[in-house]
Amino acid sequence: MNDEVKVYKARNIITMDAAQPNATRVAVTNRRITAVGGEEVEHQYGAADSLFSEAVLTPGFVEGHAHAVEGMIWDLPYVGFHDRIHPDGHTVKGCDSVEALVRQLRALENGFETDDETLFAWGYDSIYFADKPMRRDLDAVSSSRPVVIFHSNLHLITVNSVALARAGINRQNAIHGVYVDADGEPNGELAEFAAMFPVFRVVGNPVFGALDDPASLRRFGRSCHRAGITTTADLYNELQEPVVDMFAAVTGEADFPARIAPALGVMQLPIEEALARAAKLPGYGNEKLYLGAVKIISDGSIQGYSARVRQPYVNGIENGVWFVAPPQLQEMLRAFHAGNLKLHVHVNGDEAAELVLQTLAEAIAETGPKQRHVLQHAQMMDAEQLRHAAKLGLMVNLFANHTYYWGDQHRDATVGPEIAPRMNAARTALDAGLEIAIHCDAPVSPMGPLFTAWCAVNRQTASGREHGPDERITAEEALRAITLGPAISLDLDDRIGSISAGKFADFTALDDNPLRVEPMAIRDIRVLGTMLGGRWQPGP
Amino acid sequence: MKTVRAVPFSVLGGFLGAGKTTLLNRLLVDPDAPRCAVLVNDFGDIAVDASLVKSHGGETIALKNGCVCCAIGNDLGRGISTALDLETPPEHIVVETSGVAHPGRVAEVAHISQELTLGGVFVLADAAAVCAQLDDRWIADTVDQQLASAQTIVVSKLDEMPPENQAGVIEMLSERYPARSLATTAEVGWAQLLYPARGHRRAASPSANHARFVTRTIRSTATVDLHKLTNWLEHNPDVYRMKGWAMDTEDGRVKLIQAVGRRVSITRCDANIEERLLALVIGNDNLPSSEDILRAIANPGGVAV
Repeated sequence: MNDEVKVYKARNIITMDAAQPNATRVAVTNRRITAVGGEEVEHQYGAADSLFSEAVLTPGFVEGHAHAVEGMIWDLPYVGFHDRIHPDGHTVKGCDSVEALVRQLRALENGFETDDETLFAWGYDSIYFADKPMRRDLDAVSSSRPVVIFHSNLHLITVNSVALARAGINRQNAIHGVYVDADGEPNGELAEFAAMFPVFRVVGNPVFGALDDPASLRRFGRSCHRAGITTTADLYNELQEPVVDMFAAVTGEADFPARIAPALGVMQLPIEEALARAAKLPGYGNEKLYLGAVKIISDGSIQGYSARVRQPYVNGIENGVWFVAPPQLQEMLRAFHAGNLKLHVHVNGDEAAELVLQTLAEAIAETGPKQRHVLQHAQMMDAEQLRHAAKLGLMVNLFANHTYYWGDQHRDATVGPEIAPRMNAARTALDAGLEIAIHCDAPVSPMGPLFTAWCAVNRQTASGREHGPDERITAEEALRAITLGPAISLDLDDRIGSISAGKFADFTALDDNPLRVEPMAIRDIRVLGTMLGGRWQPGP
Repeated sequence: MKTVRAVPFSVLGGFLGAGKTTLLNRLLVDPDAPRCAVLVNDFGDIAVDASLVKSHGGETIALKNGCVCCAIGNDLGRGISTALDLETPPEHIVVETSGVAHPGRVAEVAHISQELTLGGVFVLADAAAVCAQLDDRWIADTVDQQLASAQTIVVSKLDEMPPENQAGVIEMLSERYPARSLATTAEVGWAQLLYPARGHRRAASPSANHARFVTRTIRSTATVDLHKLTNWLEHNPDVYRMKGWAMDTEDGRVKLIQAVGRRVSITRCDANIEERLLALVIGNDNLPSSEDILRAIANPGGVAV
C-alpha cells in the first residue's frame, strides 16, 4: 500500500460539495481524497504536483443510464446519420444522405475477401431520411453478397435484393412487416421478428449474443474513459453467472478505466428467482463493480412509436406497447419494493409513468418507503407527475440527449408541437424538488456527459431549432446532473459524485471550465483524462 | 411455394391469466401428442409430472411422448431456429406468446418462412375477466388487439361461471369479433391445434390448415321443439358443439342445451333470457348459416346440410 499523500493543484476544482463548492488544491492518499481547499492544503500535506495546473477538475462524470452493449455494438461497422466517436477515440463520419451511406458501405464491401460473406452494418435511423435508402440503393453496394443494415433501434433491418432472394421474401408473401414499394415489391425494409426471421435464418444474426466477451467490456470501459466517465450504469443485464464472473474479473484489472453499476434485468425471470438473484449479487462486487439494483421496463420508445402515451401519436398510431402486461408490471413493482430492492424503472411515455407512479404510491403506502427508486428516461412526465414523483421520494433520470437527436422528429412526427417542447423537463423537475440525473442511453445515443449537459443547458435540436427553452437548466445544475445526481441515483454518493474528503479520488480533467464558458461551448470542452481512485488515466 | 416439409406452426396467445399455461400443461402430457416443439416464455409455470420427463437441459425439457418444451427467452427467432434445427425436426411447433404479444403478428412468420406453414392462431379469453379487461383503462387496447388477431378465440373457465352469465360473454365475443371462431378450452386438443377443422389427428397433408371452426349464433322469438332440435344435432356431423338456452314448446320452461359431438344434454335451468332461443353453435366450415339452422330446426327434413 502506498500511503503517501499527493497534492494536486488545478486552475479550478469544481467540487459539487455544498460545503466548499470551489477549490484549487486536492490531496489524495492512496485511492481516496484526504483534503480539499486552497493553499493551506499544500501547507499541511506538502507541495503540489503540477499535473493539473492548467486544467479544471470536476468530480469524475457519472453516466446514470448506459448499456454495456455499447462495447459490443462496435463489432459491426457504424453507418448512422450523426458523427459518432469510436471507443478508441476516432470519429466515425455520419452517413447523412443515401449517397453517403452507399459510399460508406461500398468502402466496407471493398474490405471483404470473399464474395459471399454477409455485409452487416448498424446505426441507421430512417427517421432522418425523407427519401429512405432502399433495396435498390443497397444493390448498388453488392449484387453478390447479402447486405443487412440494422436500424439503430435494432427492431428493423434494411436489406439488398440478394438477401431478400435468399430469404425467399417476395411480393406474394409480403406480410405486415415487409414494406413494399408502389408496385407492391418488397422495398428491402423489414420490421419486427416475423419479417426479419427468414433473413436471419440464412445469414445469421450477429447482434446480442450473451454479454460475456471480456473484449466488449474493455471496449465499453474505453468508451467511458474517452468521454470522461469514471462510473457508469449498465442498466439491463441478465447477469448470468459466467457474465458476473467476467465482470468481476475485468473490472478487477488494474487498468480497467471505470466503475460499473449493472442493474439486474428481471423481465424474463419469475419474481421469486429475481428476488433471490438480486439478493446474492452484491457479494460479487468490488470497488469497481456495484451490484444489487434491479431494472424494470414498462414500455417502448417514443421515436419507435412504442412508448405508452396518453394521447395518440401525431401520425395516427393510437398507442405503443407495454413491455409486460400491466398487472404483471404492477406485481413486480410491489414485490421488489416489498423485498427492499432498488428499482430503476424504464418509463418513456406519460401513460407508462402514470401507471408506475400509481403502483409505487400503493406499494409505498402498503409497506412503507424503502429504497429511492429511479424513473429512467421519464421523457414525457408533466409537472403534476414530477411533483407526484417528488412526493414519493423518487428520482428521475432524464434523457437529455433526445432534445438534440430527436427533438425535431418529436415535434414533427411523434408527439407533436404541444408536448415535444416540454419533454425531458429538467427545469420543472428541479422546481418540483427532485434530484435529477441526465443520460445518453448508449448505444442509443453516444456517450459524452458534457454533450448531455450541453443539451440540458441549451435545449437545441440537431437542426438548430430551440426546443422548449423554458426547460433549460443552468450549467451548474447540469454539471450536478452528470456527477452527484447520477451518483445518488446509483446509491453511490457516499463514495463518488463530488470532490469531498473520504470519497474516491475520481476526477475528470477538462481544458476549460463548464461553468464559465459560453453555454453553447460546453460541448467543445476537451476531456484531458480521468483520475480513477487516484490513478491518472490520460485521454486518448 | 412452401417446401414439402414445412412444419405446421401454431400460436397460442392471450392475456395474462387467460389459461395458456394450463392448456399447455394439458397438451404436453397428452399421450396422443404429436412430436412437437412447444416454445414457452419461461419454465416457471410448466408443471409436467417428473415421470413423463425424459431429460431436462438448460433451455429445453424433453418428454417421453416425444414433445420438446423450449424456453424462448428474449429471442423468439432463435427459439424457432432451435426447434427447426432439432436433430429430429418436430411435427408441429406451438408458440406460447407473452401476455402482451400480438399473436397475429407472431403467426405471420409462418406465411413468410418457407420452413413453416400456419396451423392456427388461438387466443384465449378468460370468461370471467374478459369483459372487464376490454373495459380496463390500462389493458383494453392490448386485449382487444390480441382477440382481433385470433383465428379461434378460446374461451377458458366458462364452466366456472353461472349459466346466465355465460351467454353474455359468448355473445359479446361473437358480436365484437364476428369473423373469429369460438371454442372453449375443453374443446381444444391436439386435433384442433394440428388441423383446426376436421378433428382428424393424422390427416394426409398439413394443408388442411385452411379449415377452421365456424361459429353461428342463433336466436329466435318462437319457442323451440326440443325433439326436433335434438334430432338435428344428433344427425349433423358438421356440428362440434352447441350451447344455449331455449324455451321448450312443450312446457314453456327455459332449458339449457349442451351438445358435444353427437351427445346432447338438456337440463332445466332458471336462466333469464329475452329471446325464446339463444344459442351458440360451433362446427366446421360446412356449418349452415344461422337462418338455415333455424329453418332446419323448424323442419328437420327441409334443409339439406
